Amino acid sequence: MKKGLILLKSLFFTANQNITNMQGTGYKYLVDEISNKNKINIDNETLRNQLGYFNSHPFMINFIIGMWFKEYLNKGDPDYFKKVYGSALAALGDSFFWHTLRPLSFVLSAILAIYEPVVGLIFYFVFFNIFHIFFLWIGFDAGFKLGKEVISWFNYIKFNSWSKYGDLIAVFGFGILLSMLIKINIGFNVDLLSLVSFFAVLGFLFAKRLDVSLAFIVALILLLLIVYVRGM
Amino acid sequence: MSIGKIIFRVDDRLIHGQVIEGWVKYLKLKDLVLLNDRIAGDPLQKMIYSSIVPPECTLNILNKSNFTADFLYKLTNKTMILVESVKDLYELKNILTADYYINVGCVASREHKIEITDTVFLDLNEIKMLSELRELYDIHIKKLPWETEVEIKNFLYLLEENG
Repeated sequence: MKKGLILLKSLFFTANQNITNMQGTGYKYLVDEISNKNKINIDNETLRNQLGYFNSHPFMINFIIGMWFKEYLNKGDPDYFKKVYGSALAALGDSFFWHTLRPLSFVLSAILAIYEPVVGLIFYFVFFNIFHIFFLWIGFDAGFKLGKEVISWFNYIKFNSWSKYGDLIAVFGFGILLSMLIKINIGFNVDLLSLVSFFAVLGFLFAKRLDVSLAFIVALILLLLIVYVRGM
Repeated sequence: MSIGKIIFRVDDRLIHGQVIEGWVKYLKLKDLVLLNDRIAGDPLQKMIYSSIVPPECTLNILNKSNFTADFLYKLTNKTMILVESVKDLYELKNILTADYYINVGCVASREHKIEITDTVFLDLNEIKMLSELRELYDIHIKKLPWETEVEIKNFLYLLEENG
């Protein structure tokens, strides 16, 4: 089956997500489709088992499917490693896609949207999906080539560190966004910029010790108090 | 937020997104301990799980038989110990004390299991084991730290109802 077709079909992977077997139906659908197109004969019991509980990150699914086929054809232990990689790649995928790439895309697109809202929206759509589509595009081949050792591909690109760097860029972008909003709405004001930067730093310091949202509330209350005492 | 206790968690997916983002990063945990004989005996699986833990967190993977009270004393309150099943947790009952935070986060749906929450499905045997542990310790059933937990008091009713 061609890469593009696998990518397209993998977009339907979560279509029947539910609390009983989570993404099990989508997993069986992909195994069915790929085995039929490639004339791979999968025994009925193995095929039926694919309907069982399965939960992973949807953008990582093609790595797992590729690994599964490789292990199945090599008479390995495909279902066991499906479970292992289901959890492992869910951890990596959730960290990067949901908790880093989403806020990063938002901050960058918000900066662009200050000048051109439509460009900001398009940027979000394109930037987020470059990563999304890339992982779905390359996943099956990498999984099929490396089999149960597909984790080495993620280690090779140091994927576990992407979140850390992405978060740094997002925080830096957040600072730029804040400065631009002040400059546009109030004008260049060293006092105010210093004050906001001070509270941003204070907020991050608090956040290291406290819950982030609580730190944000504390910083906001302090800012309000100072603005009330000093005036704008 | 801080729980201030070593956390024991039952999760049949072991380390996954909720554990990393919801517990490790949210509570700023420093150590993860994975108690699983099959993983501890396989270098490849050890590598897989080691590769997904954030760099600022350490991971120890141990055989259940190597996990002793002595090992527990060396751990800080920023530690989560993961086991795969309620049975694995029950086997630790001689080690557990009220000083630990016991969490049941995810036990997948299977045939003949009773739905406790949207991620915890237990069979009668598991309910019996948890009820026994519940007599001694608080057990917190929830998948993420900020969620409202499910009270476990009515488990005996479930046992009676399901025979």
